[in-house]
Amino acid sequence: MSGVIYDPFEGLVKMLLSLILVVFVLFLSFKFRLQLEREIVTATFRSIVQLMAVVMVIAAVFRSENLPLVLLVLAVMVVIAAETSAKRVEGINKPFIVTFSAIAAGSGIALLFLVLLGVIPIKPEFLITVGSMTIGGCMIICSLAMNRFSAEIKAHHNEIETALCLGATQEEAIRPFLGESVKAALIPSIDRLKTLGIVVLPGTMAGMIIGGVDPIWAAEYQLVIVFLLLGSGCITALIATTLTQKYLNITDEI
Amino acid sequence: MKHIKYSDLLIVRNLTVNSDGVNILDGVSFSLSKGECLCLTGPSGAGKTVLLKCLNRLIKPSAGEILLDGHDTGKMNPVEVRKQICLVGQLPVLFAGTVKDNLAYPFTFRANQNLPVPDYATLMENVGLSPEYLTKNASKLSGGERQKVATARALGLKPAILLFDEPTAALDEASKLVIDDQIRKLNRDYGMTIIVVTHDMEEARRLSRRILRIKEGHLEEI
Ligand SMILES: Nc1ncnc2c1ncn2[C@@H]1O[C@H](COP(=O)(O)OP(=O)(O)OP(=O)(O)O)[C@@H](O)[C@H]1O
Ligand SMILES: [Mg+2]
Repeated sequence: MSGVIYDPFEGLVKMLLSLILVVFVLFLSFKFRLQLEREIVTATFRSIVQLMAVVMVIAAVFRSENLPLVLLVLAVMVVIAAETSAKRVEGINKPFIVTFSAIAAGSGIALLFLVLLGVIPIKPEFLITVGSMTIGGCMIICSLAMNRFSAEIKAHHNEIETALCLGATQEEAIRPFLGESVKAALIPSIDRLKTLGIVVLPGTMAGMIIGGVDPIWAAEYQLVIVFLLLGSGCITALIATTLTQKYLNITDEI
Repeated sequence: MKHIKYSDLLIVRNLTVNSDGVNILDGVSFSLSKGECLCLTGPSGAGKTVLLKCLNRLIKPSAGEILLDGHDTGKMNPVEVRKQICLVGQLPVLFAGTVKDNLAYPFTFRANQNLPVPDYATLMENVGLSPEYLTKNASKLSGGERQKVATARALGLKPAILLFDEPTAALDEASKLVIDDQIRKLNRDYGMTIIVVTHDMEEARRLSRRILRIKEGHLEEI
Protein backbone atom coordinates (compact mmCIF):
# COMPACT_ATOMS: atom_id res chain seq x y z
CA MET A 1 0.00 0.00 0.00
CA SER A 2 1.54 3.34 -0.96
CA GLY A 3 -0.51 6.39 -0.22
CA VAL A 4 0.80 9.33 1.70
CA ILE A 5 4.31 8.84 3.11
CA TYR A 6 4.20 8.35 6.87
CA ASP A 7 6.34 10.56 9.10
CA PRO A 8 6.03 9.64 12.82
CA PHE A 9 6.45 13.19 14.08
CA GLU A 10 3.94 14.58 11.65
CA GLY A 11 1.49 11.81 12.58
CA LEU A 12 1.63 12.70 16.27
CA VAL A 13 1.15 16.39 15.53
CA LYS A 14 -1.85 15.68 13.34
CA MET A 15 -3.44 13.51 15.99
CA LEU A 16 -2.91 16.26 18.56
CA LEU A 17 -4.34 18.86 16.18
CA SER A 18 -7.52 16.81 15.82
CA LEU A 19 -7.77 16.91 19.62
CA ILE A 20 -8.79 20.57 19.19
CA LEU A 21 -12.23 19.25 18.28
CA VAL A 22 -12.42 17.48 21.63
CA VAL A 23 -11.39 20.69 23.39
CA PHE A 24 -14.20 22.39 21.53
CA VAL A 25 -16.69 19.81 22.86
CA LEU A 26 -15.27 20.37 26.36
CA PHE A 27 -15.86 24.08 25.98
CA LEU A 28 -19.47 23.52 24.86
CA SER A 29 -20.07 21.07 27.67
CA PHE A 30 -18.80 23.66 30.17
CA LYS A 31 -20.79 26.48 28.64
CA PHE A 32 -24.08 24.58 28.48
CA ARG A 33 -23.51 22.78 31.78
CA LEU A 34 -23.75 19.35 30.19
CA GLN A 35 -21.41 18.11 32.94
CA LEU A 36 -19.67 15.83 30.50
CA GLU A 37 -16.19 17.34 30.99
CA ARG A 38 -14.83 14.71 33.32
CA GLU A 39 -16.15 11.84 31.30
CA ILE A 40 -14.87 13.26 28.02
CA VAL A 41 -11.38 13.88 29.41
CA THR A 42 -11.14 10.34 30.84
CA ALA A 43 -12.58 8.76 27.73
CA THR A 44 -10.19 10.67 25.46
CA PHE A 45 -7.13 9.74 27.51
CA ARG A 46 -8.31 6.22 27.72
CA SER A 47 -8.79 5.96 23.97
CA ILE A 48 -5.28 7.29 23.29
CA VAL A 49 -3.49 5.11 25.82
CA GLN A 50 -5.56 2.03 25.03
CA LEU A 51 -5.19 2.23 21.30
CA MET A 52 -1.45 2.99 21.44
CA ALA A 53 -0.83 0.11 23.82
CA VAL A 54 -2.83 -2.27 21.70
CA VAL A 55 -1.19 -1.17 18.47
CA MET A 56 2.25 -1.81 19.96
CA VAL A 57 1.26 -5.32 20.95
CA ILE A 58 -0.29 -5.96 17.58
CA ALA A 59 2.70 -4.53 15.71
CA ALA A 60 4.90 -6.93 17.67
CA VAL A 61 2.62 -9.83 16.75
CA PHE A 62 2.68 -8.79 13.09
CA ARG A 63 6.46 -8.76 13.09
CA SER A 64 6.72 -12.10 14.86
CA GLU A 65 4.72 -13.90 12.10
CA ASN A 66 3.90 -16.40 14.83
CA LEU A 67 0.55 -18.10 14.19
CA PRO A 68 -0.05 -19.44 17.74
CA LEU A 69 0.59 -15.94 19.03
CA VAL A 70 -1.99 -14.56 16.59
CA LEU A 71 -4.53 -17.11 17.78
CA LEU A 72 -3.76 -16.20 21.37
CA VAL A 73 -4.45 -12.53 20.65
CA LEU A 74 -7.76 -13.47 19.00
CA ALA A 75 -8.65 -15.69 21.96
CA VAL A 76 -8.02 -12.83 24.39
CA MET A 77 -10.26 -10.64 22.25
CA VAL A 78 -13.01 -13.26 22.40
CA VAL A 79 -12.72 -13.49 26.20
CA ILE A 80 -12.96 -9.73 26.62
CA ALA A 81 -15.87 -9.52 24.17
CA ALA A 82 -17.64 -12.34 26.01
CA GLU A 83 -17.14 -10.67 29.38
CA THR A 84 -18.41 -7.36 28.07
CA SER A 85 -21.48 -8.98 26.57
CA ALA A 86 -22.12 -11.10 29.68
CA LYS A 87 -22.39 -7.97 31.81
CA ARG A 88 -25.31 -6.84 29.68
CA VAL A 89 -27.55 -9.83 30.33
CA GLU A 90 -29.66 -10.58 33.37
CA GLY A 91 -31.45 -13.59 34.70
CA ILE A 92 -29.15 -16.28 33.39
CA ASN A 93 -27.12 -18.64 35.52
CA LYS A 94 -23.83 -18.60 33.62
CA PRO A 95 -23.84 -15.64 31.23
CA PHE A 96 -20.13 -15.86 30.44
CA ILE A 97 -20.35 -19.46 29.25
CA VAL A 98 -23.20 -18.49 26.97
CA THR A 99 -21.60 -15.36 25.52
CA PHE A 100 -18.19 -16.97 25.19
CA SER A 101 -19.51 -20.01 23.36
CA ALA A 102 -21.66 -17.87 21.10
CA ILE A 103 -18.97 -15.34 20.18
CA ALA A 104 -16.20 -17.92 19.86
CA ALA A 105 -18.29 -20.22 17.68
CA GLY A 106 -19.77 -17.42 15.57
CA SER A 107 -16.52 -15.67 14.76
CA GLY A 108 -14.48 -18.89 14.71
CA ILE A 109 -16.67 -20.82 12.29
CA ALA A 110 -17.19 -17.93 9.86
CA LEU A 111 -13.49 -16.97 9.88
CA LEU A 112 -12.31 -20.53 9.48
CA PHE A 113 -14.68 -20.97 6.57
CA LEU A 114 -13.23 -17.99 4.69
CA VAL A 115 -9.67 -18.99 5.59
CA LEU A 116 -10.23 -22.50 4.25
CA LEU A 117 -11.67 -21.07 1.04
CA GLY A 118 -8.56 -18.95 0.75
CA VAL A 119 -10.53 -15.68 0.89
CA ILE A 120 -8.67 -14.56 3.99
CA PRO A 121 -4.91 -15.20 3.81
CA ILE A 122 -3.26 -16.84 6.82
CA LYS A 123 -1.23 -13.78 7.70
CA PRO A 124 -1.14 -11.99 11.06
CA GLU A 125 -2.18 -8.61 9.65
CA PHE A 126 -5.27 -10.10 7.99
CA LEU A 127 -6.25 -12.52 10.75
CA ILE A 128 -5.96 -9.93 13.49
CA THR A 129 -7.71 -7.04 11.75
CA VAL A 130 -10.48 -9.06 10.16
CA GLY A 131 -10.71 -11.24 13.28
CA SER A 132 -11.11 -8.30 15.61
CA MET A 133 -13.83 -6.78 13.44
CA THR A 134 -15.67 -10.10 13.40
CA ILE A 135 -15.35 -10.62 17.15
CA GLY A 136 -16.51 -7.06 17.81
CA GLY A 137 -19.50 -7.52 15.52
CA CYS A 138 -20.37 -10.81 17.20
CA MET A 139 -20.16 -9.16 20.61
CA ILE A 140 -22.73 -6.55 19.67
CA ILE A 141 -25.05 -9.10 18.11
CA CYS A 142 -24.66 -11.40 21.12
CA SER A 143 -25.69 -8.61 23.51
CA LEU A 144 -28.60 -7.60 21.30
CA ALA A 145 -29.88 -11.15 20.93
CA MET A 146 -29.65 -12.05 24.60
CA ASN A 147 -31.09 -8.77 25.77
CA ARG A 148 -34.03 -9.12 23.49
CA PHE A 149 -34.46 -12.76 24.44
CA SER A 150 -34.63 -12.12 28.17
CA ALA A 151 -36.96 -9.16 27.56
CA GLU A 152 -39.23 -11.38 25.48
CA ILE A 153 -39.23 -14.07 28.14
CA LYS A 154 -40.10 -11.57 30.83
CA ALA A 155 -42.84 -9.99 28.74
CA HIS A 156 -44.37 -13.37 27.89
CA HIS A 157 -44.01 -14.96 31.30
CA ASN A 158 -47.70 -15.85 31.47
CA GLU A 159 -47.73 -17.53 28.08
CA ILE A 160 -44.60 -19.50 28.94
CA GLU A 161 -46.03 -20.60 32.26
CA THR A 162 -49.28 -21.61 30.57
CA ALA A 163 -47.41 -23.70 28.02
CA LEU A 164 -45.51 -25.41 30.86
CA CYS A 165 -48.82 -26.13 32.57
CA LEU A 166 -49.98 -27.85 29.39
CA GLY A 167 -47.02 -30.23 29.26
CA ALA A 168 -44.42 -28.22 27.34
CA THR A 169 -40.78 -28.61 28.25
CA GLN A 170 -39.01 -25.37 29.10
CA GLU A 171 -37.47 -25.36 25.63
CA GLU A 172 -40.81 -25.87 23.92
CA ALA A 173 -42.38 -23.10 25.98
CA ILE A 174 -39.66 -20.57 25.16
CA ARG A 175 -39.02 -21.52 21.52
CA PRO A 176 -41.61 -19.15 19.99
CA PHE A 177 -39.58 -16.19 21.26
CA LEU A 178 -36.21 -17.42 20.06
CA GLY A 179 -36.66 -16.52 16.39
CA GLU A 180 -37.91 -13.07 17.26
CA SER A 181 -34.73 -12.37 19.23
CA VAL A 182 -32.38 -13.67 16.54
CA LYS A 183 -34.21 -11.53 14.02
CA ALA A 184 -34.00 -8.41 16.16
CA ALA A 185 -30.27 -8.91 16.66
CA LEU A 186 -29.63 -9.26 12.93
CA ILE A 187 -31.62 -6.21 11.83
CA PRO A 188 -28.71 -3.74 12.21
CA SER A 189 -26.47 -6.01 10.09
CA ILE A 190 -29.10 -6.31 7.39
CA ASP A 191 -29.67 -2.55 7.41
CA ARG A 192 -25.95 -2.08 7.05
CA LEU A 193 -26.00 -4.25 3.92
CA LYS A 194 -28.85 -2.21 2.50
CA THR A 195 -27.18 1.15 2.97
CA LEU A 196 -23.60 0.06 2.40
CA GLY A 197 -21.61 2.93 0.98
CA ILE A 198 -24.60 5.24 0.72
CA VAL A 199 -25.03 6.34 4.30
CA VAL A 200 -21.42 5.80 5.37
CA LEU A 201 -18.30 4.78 3.56
CA PRO A 202 -17.50 1.64 5.50
CA GLY A 203 -14.40 1.61 7.68
CA THR A 204 -12.35 -1.09 5.98
CA MET A 205 -12.90 0.39 2.56
CA ALA A 206 -12.19 3.93 3.74
CA GLY A 207 -8.98 2.71 5.37
CA MET A 208 -7.84 0.80 2.32
CA ILE A 209 -8.53 3.74 0.00
CA ILE A 210 -6.58 6.08 2.27
CA GLY A 211 -3.84 3.47 2.20
CA GLY A 212 -3.73 3.84 -1.58
CA VAL A 213 -5.39 0.59 -2.66
CA ASP A 214 -7.50 0.37 -5.82
CA PRO A 215 -11.04 1.41 -4.71
CA ILE A 216 -12.58 -1.62 -6.48
CA TRP A 217 -10.37 -3.95 -4.48
CA ALA A 218 -11.26 -2.00 -1.35
CA ALA A 219 -14.96 -2.38 -2.13
CA GLU A 220 -14.60 -6.12 -2.75
CA TYR A 221 -12.82 -6.54 0.54
CA GLN A 222 -15.45 -4.49 2.30
CA LEU A 223 -18.10 -6.85 0.94
CA VAL A 224 -16.16 -9.84 2.25
CA ILE A 225 -16.17 -8.15 5.67
CA VAL A 226 -19.90 -7.38 5.77
CA PHE A 227 -20.84 -10.87 4.61
CA LEU A 228 -18.50 -12.25 7.22
CA LEU A 229 -20.11 -10.04 9.87
CA LEU A 230 -23.60 -11.19 8.88
CA GLY A 231 -22.68 -14.87 8.82
CA SER A 232 -20.75 -14.86 12.07
CA GLY A 233 -23.43 -12.71 13.71
CA CYS A 234 -26.19 -15.10 12.73
CA ILE A 235 -24.32 -18.07 14.20
CA THR A 236 -23.63 -16.07 17.35
CA ALA A 237 -27.27 -15.02 17.79
CA LEU A 238 -28.52 -18.57 17.29
CA ILE A 239 -26.06 -20.09 19.73
CA ALA A 240 -26.57 -17.32 22.29
CA THR A 241 -30.34 -17.76 22.36
CA THR A 242 -30.24 -21.54 22.24
CA LEU A 243 -27.83 -21.70 25.16
CA THR A 244 -29.82 -19.07 27.06
CA GLN A 245 -32.76 -21.42 26.73
CA LYS A 246 -30.71 -24.11 28.46
CA TYR A 247 -29.22 -22.04 31.25
CA LEU A 248 -32.40 -20.19 32.12
CA ASN A 249 -34.34 -21.57 35.02
CA ILE A 250 -37.83 -20.17 34.90
CA THR A 251 -39.70 -22.72 36.93
CA ASP A 252 -37.75 -23.01 40.15
CA GLU A 253 -37.56 -19.27 40.53
CA ILE A 254 -38.29 -19.07 44.26
CA MET B 1 -45.26 -43.45 59.61
CA LYS B 2 -48.84 -42.69 58.69
CA HIS B 3 -50.62 -45.40 56.80
CA ILE B 4 -51.53 -44.34 53.28
CA LYS B 5 -55.23 -44.61 52.66
CA TYR B 6 -56.07 -46.28 49.40
CA SER B 7 -58.32 -43.46 48.24
CA ASP B 8 -55.70 -40.72 48.79
CA LEU B 9 -54.78 -39.58 45.29
CA LEU B 10 -52.66 -36.71 46.55
CA ILE B 11 -50.77 -36.53 49.82
CA VAL B 12 -48.91 -33.40 50.82
CA ARG B 13 -46.56 -33.69 53.77
CA ASN B 14 -44.79 -30.83 55.53
CA LEU B 15 -44.55 -28.74 52.40
CA THR B 16 -42.28 -25.74 52.98
CA VAL B 17 -41.40 -22.99 50.54
CA ASN B 18 -38.71 -20.58 51.58
CA SER B 19 -37.94 -17.37 49.77
CA ASP B 20 -35.19 -15.05 51.03
CA GLY B 21 -35.33 -16.53 54.51
CA VAL B 22 -39.11 -16.21 54.82
CA ASN B 23 -41.29 -19.32 54.84
CA ILE B 24 -44.15 -18.59 52.48
CA LEU B 25 -45.47 -22.06 53.21
CA ASP B 26 -44.42 -23.52 56.54
CA GLY B 27 -45.12 -27.23 56.89
CA VAL B 28 -48.35 -27.61 54.95
CA SER B 29 -49.94 -31.07 55.07
CA PHE B 30 -53.19 -32.33 53.63
CA SER B 31 -54.53 -35.08 51.45
CA LEU B 32 -57.02 -35.30 48.67
CA SER B 33 -59.13 -38.32 47.75
CA LYS B 34 -59.89 -39.35 44.23
CA GLY B 35 -63.02 -37.62 43.01
CA GLU B 36 -62.94 -34.97 45.73
CA CYS B 37 -63.44 -31.23 45.20
CA LEU B 38 -61.47 -29.21 47.74
CA CYS B 39 -61.59 -25.46 48.28
CA LEU B 40 -58.64 -23.43 49.46
CA THR B 41 -58.99 -19.92 50.84
CA GLY B 42 -56.86 -17.44 52.72
CA PRO B 43 -55.90 -13.77 52.68
CA SER B 44 -54.06 -12.20 49.77
CA GLY B 45 -50.40 -13.13 49.76
CA ALA B 46 -51.02 -16.14 52.02
CA GLY B 47 -49.41 -18.49 49.50
CA LYS B 48 -52.39 -20.08 47.78
CA THR B 49 -50.97 -19.62 44.30
CA VAL B 50 -47.55 -20.77 45.51
CA LEU B 51 -49.14 -23.94 46.91
CA LEU B 52 -50.86 -24.72 43.60
CA LYS B 53 -47.62 -24.08 41.72
CA CYS B 54 -45.80 -26.50 44.03
CA LEU B 55 -48.41 -29.13 43.32
CA ASN B 56 -47.81 -28.94 39.56
CA ARG B 57 -44.09 -28.42 40.01
CA LEU B 58 -43.86 -24.92 38.60
CA ILE B 59 -42.16 -24.21 41.90
CA LYS B 60 -39.77 -26.61 43.58
CA PRO B 61 -40.56 -26.76 47.30
CA SER B 62 -37.72 -26.18 49.78
CA ALA B 63 -38.81 -29.14 51.90
CA GLY B 64 -41.56 -31.68 52.30
CA GLU B 65 -43.08 -34.10 49.85
CA ILE B 66 -45.99 -34.40 47.49
CA LEU B 67 -47.18 -37.90 46.66
CA LEU B 68 -49.34 -38.49 43.62
CA ASP B 69 -50.84 -41.96 43.69
CA GLY B 70 -48.00 -42.91 46.02
CA HIS B 71 -45.24 -41.51 43.77
CA ASP B 72 -43.04 -38.67 45.01
CA THR B 73 -43.57 -35.88 42.46
CA GLY B 74 -40.21 -34.40 43.45
CA LYS B 75 -38.59 -37.44 41.84
CA MET B 76 -40.77 -37.39 38.74
CA ASN B 77 -40.08 -35.46 35.55
CA PRO B 78 -41.80 -32.07 36.09
CA VAL B 79 -43.41 -32.32 32.65
CA GLU B 80 -45.08 -35.59 33.68
CA VAL B 81 -46.25 -34.06 36.96
CA ARG B 82 -47.82 -31.14 35.09
CA LYS B 83 -49.65 -33.48 32.74
CA GLN B 84 -51.19 -35.26 35.72
CA ILE B 85 -51.85 -32.18 37.85
CA CYS B 86 -53.04 -29.46 35.53
CA LEU B 87 -53.25 -25.85 36.66
CA VAL B 88 -55.67 -23.36 35.15
CA GLY B 89 -54.23 -19.97 36.08
CA GLN B 90 -55.94 -16.97 37.59
CA LEU B 91 -56.10 -15.00 34.35
CA PRO B 92 -56.11 -17.78 31.77
CA VAL B 93 -53.85 -17.20 28.80
CA LEU B 94 -55.21 -18.10 25.39
CA PHE B 95 -52.82 -18.15 22.47
CA ALA B 96 -53.30 -16.43 19.11
CA GLY B 97 -55.67 -18.27 16.79
CA THR B 98 -59.04 -19.89 17.11
CA VAL B 99 -60.49 -21.70 20.13
CA LYS B 100 -59.77 -24.96 18.32
CA ASP B 101 -56.12 -23.96 17.82
CA ASN B 102 -55.94 -23.42 21.55
CA LEU B 103 -57.39 -26.84 22.32
CA ALA B 104 -54.97 -28.43 19.85
CA TYR B 105 -51.91 -26.51 21.07
CA PRO B 106 -50.92 -28.88 23.92
CA PHE B 107 -50.73 -31.75 21.44
CA THR B 108 -47.85 -30.07 19.63
CA PHE B 109 -45.66 -30.77 22.68
CA ARG B 110 -43.50 -33.86 22.64
CA ALA B 111 -44.70 -35.08 26.03
CA ASN B 112 -48.33 -35.18 24.81
CA GLN B 113 -47.63 -36.89 21.54
CA ASN B 114 -48.70 -40.30 22.83
CA LEU B 115 -52.01 -38.99 24.18
CA PRO B 116 -55.12 -39.57 22.08
CA VAL B 117 -56.27 -36.28 20.54
CA PRO B 118 -59.67 -35.61 22.12
CA ASP B 119 -62.86 -34.73 20.34
CA TYR B 120 -62.93 -30.96 20.59
CA ALA B 121 -66.70 -30.66 20.36
CA THR B 122 -67.03 -32.94 23.39
CA LEU B 123 -64.51 -30.84 25.28
CA MET B 124 -66.59 -27.75 24.57
CA GLU B 125 -69.64 -29.58 25.82
CA ASN B 126 -67.79 -30.52 29.01
CA VAL B 127 -67.38 -26.86 29.87
CA GLY B 128 -70.81 -25.78 28.67
CA LEU B 129 -69.87 -24.06 25.42
CA SER B 130 -71.47 -24.83 22.08
CA PRO B 131 -69.18 -26.39 19.42
CA GLU B 132 -69.69 -23.27 17.33
CA TYR B 133 -67.12 -21.62 19.55
CA LEU B 134 -64.39 -23.78 18.06
CA THR B 135 -63.95 -21.52 15.05
CA LYS B 136 -64.10 -18.26 17.03
CA ASN B 137 -61.02 -16.12 17.46
CA ALA B 138 -59.70 -16.71 20.98
CA SER B 139 -58.78 -13.06 21.46
CA LYS B 140 -62.42 -12.03 21.08
CA LEU B 141 -63.82 -14.05 23.98
CA SER B 142 -65.21 -12.69 27.24
CA GLY B 143 -63.53 -13.38 30.59
CA GLY B 144 -65.92 -16.19 31.45
CA GLU B 145 -65.56 -17.77 28.02
CA ARG B 146 -61.78 -17.60 28.25
CA GLN B 147 -61.94 -19.37 31.61
CA LYS B 148 -64.07 -22.11 30.07
CA VAL B 149 -61.80 -22.54 27.03
CA ALA B 150 -58.76 -22.73 29.30
CA THR B 151 -60.55 -25.38 31.34
CA ALA B 152 -61.48 -27.33 28.20
CA ARG B 153 -57.86 -27.13 27.04
CA ALA B 154 -56.71 -28.59 30.38
CA LEU B 155 -59.39 -31.31 30.26
CA GLY B 156 -58.12 -32.42 26.86
CA LEU B 157 -54.97 -33.66 28.58
CA LYS B 158 -57.04 -35.93 30.84
CA PRO B 159 -55.24 -34.89 34.01
CA ALA B 160 -55.73 -36.78 37.27
CA ILE B 161 -56.23 -33.52 39.17
CA LEU B 162 -57.39 -30.10 38.01
CA LEU B 163 -56.25 -27.00 39.90
CA PHE B 164 -58.19 -23.76 39.54
CA ASP B 165 -56.60 -20.53 40.79
CA GLU B 166 -59.41 -18.07 41.52
CA PRO B 167 -61.38 -19.06 38.43
CA THR B 168 -64.09 -16.48 39.05
CA ALA B 169 -62.13 -13.58 40.54
CA ALA B 170 -62.50 -11.49 37.39
CA LEU B 171 -66.16 -12.29 36.75
CA ASP B 172 -69.53 -10.81 37.75
CA GLU B 173 -71.97 -12.70 40.01
CA ALA B 174 -73.92 -14.30 37.16
CA SER B 175 -70.85 -15.63 35.33
CA LYS B 176 -69.44 -16.77 38.67
CA LEU B 177 -72.46 -19.04 39.15
CA VAL B 178 -72.06 -20.44 35.64
CA ILE B 179 -68.38 -21.30 36.17
CA ASP B 180 -69.08 -22.77 39.61
CA ASP B 181 -71.81 -24.86 38.09
CA GLN B 182 -69.37 -26.11 35.51
CA ILE B 183 -66.75 -26.99 38.10
CA ARG B 184 -69.35 -28.88 40.12
CA LYS B 185 -70.42 -30.72 37.01
CA LEU B 186 -66.83 -31.72 36.19
CA ASN B 187 -66.54 -33.07 39.70
CA ARG B 188 -69.91 -34.82 40.02
CA ASP B 189 -70.65 -35.95 36.48
CA TYR B 190 -67.17 -36.56 35.15
CA GLY B 191 -65.50 -37.56 38.43
CA MET B 192 -62.65 -35.02 38.16
CA THR B 193 -60.57 -34.48 41.26
CA ILE B 194 -60.36 -30.74 41.78
CA ILE B 195 -58.78 -28.07 43.96
CA VAL B 196 -60.24 -24.58 43.72
CA VAL B 197 -58.64 -21.49 45.23
CA THR B 198 -61.09 -18.72 46.03
CA HIS B 199 -61.47 -15.69 48.29
CA ASP B 200 -65.23 -16.05 48.22
CA MET B 201 -66.48 -18.13 51.18
CA GLU B 202 -69.93 -18.42 49.68
CA GLU B 203 -68.46 -19.79 46.49
CA ALA B 204 -66.29 -22.17 48.51
CA ARG B 205 -69.35 -23.52 50.31
CA ARG B 206 -71.17 -23.90 47.01
CA LEU B 207 -68.35 -25.95 45.59
CA SER B 208 -67.16 -28.13 48.40
CA ARG B 209 -67.91 -29.57 51.78
CA ARG B 210 -64.28 -29.40 52.73
CA ILE B 211 -62.63 -26.00 52.92
CA LEU B 212 -59.03 -25.37 53.96
CA ARG B 213 -57.61 -21.97 54.84
CA ILE B 214 -53.96 -20.96 54.54
CA LYS B 215 -52.82 -18.47 57.10
CA GLU B 216 -49.26 -17.51 57.93
CA GLY B 217 -47.96 -20.49 56.06
CA HIS B 218 -50.16 -23.02 57.82
CA LEU B 219 -53.32 -24.85 56.81
CA GLU B 220 -56.46 -25.10 58.91
CA GLU B 221 -59.76 -26.86 58.20
CA ILE B 222 -62.90 -24.74 58.40
N1 LIG C 1 -42.01 -16.44 42.28
C1 LIG C 1 -41.97 -15.94 43.52
N2 LIG C 1 -40.77 -15.63 44.09
C2 LIG C 1 -40.72 -15.14 45.33
N3 LIG C 1 -41.80 -14.89 46.08
C3 LIG C 1 -43.01 -15.16 45.56
C4 LIG C 1 -43.16 -15.70 44.25
N4 LIG C 1 -44.46 -15.87 44.00
C5 LIG C 1 -45.09 -15.44 45.10
N5 LIG C 1 -44.23 -15.02 46.05
C6 LIG C 1 -44.56 -14.51 47.38
O1 LIG C 1 -45.24 -15.51 48.07
C7 LIG C 1 -46.28 -14.96 48.84
C8 LIG C 1 -47.56 -15.66 48.51
O2 LIG C 1 -47.91 -15.37 47.17
P1 LIG C 1 -49.17 -16.03 46.47
O3 LIG C 1 -49.20 -15.52 45.08
O4 LIG C 1 -49.12 -17.50 46.66
O5 LIG C 1 -50.38 -15.43 47.30
P2 LIG C 1 -51.91 -15.76 47.14
O6 LIG C 1 -52.33 -16.40 48.41
O7 LIG C 1 -52.13 -16.50 45.90
O8 LIG C 1 -52.51 -14.30 47.07
P3 LIG C 1 -53.69 -13.74 46.13
O9 LIG C 1 -54.95 -14.11 46.83
O10 LIG C 1 -53.48 -12.28 46.14
O11 LIG C 1 -53.55 -14.36 44.78
C9 LIG C 1 -46.32 -13.48 48.52
O12 LIG C 1 -45.69 -12.80 49.59
C10 LIG C 1 -45.51 -13.34 47.28
O13 LIG C 1 -44.83 -12.14 47.26
MG1 LIG D 1 -52.98 -16.03 43.99
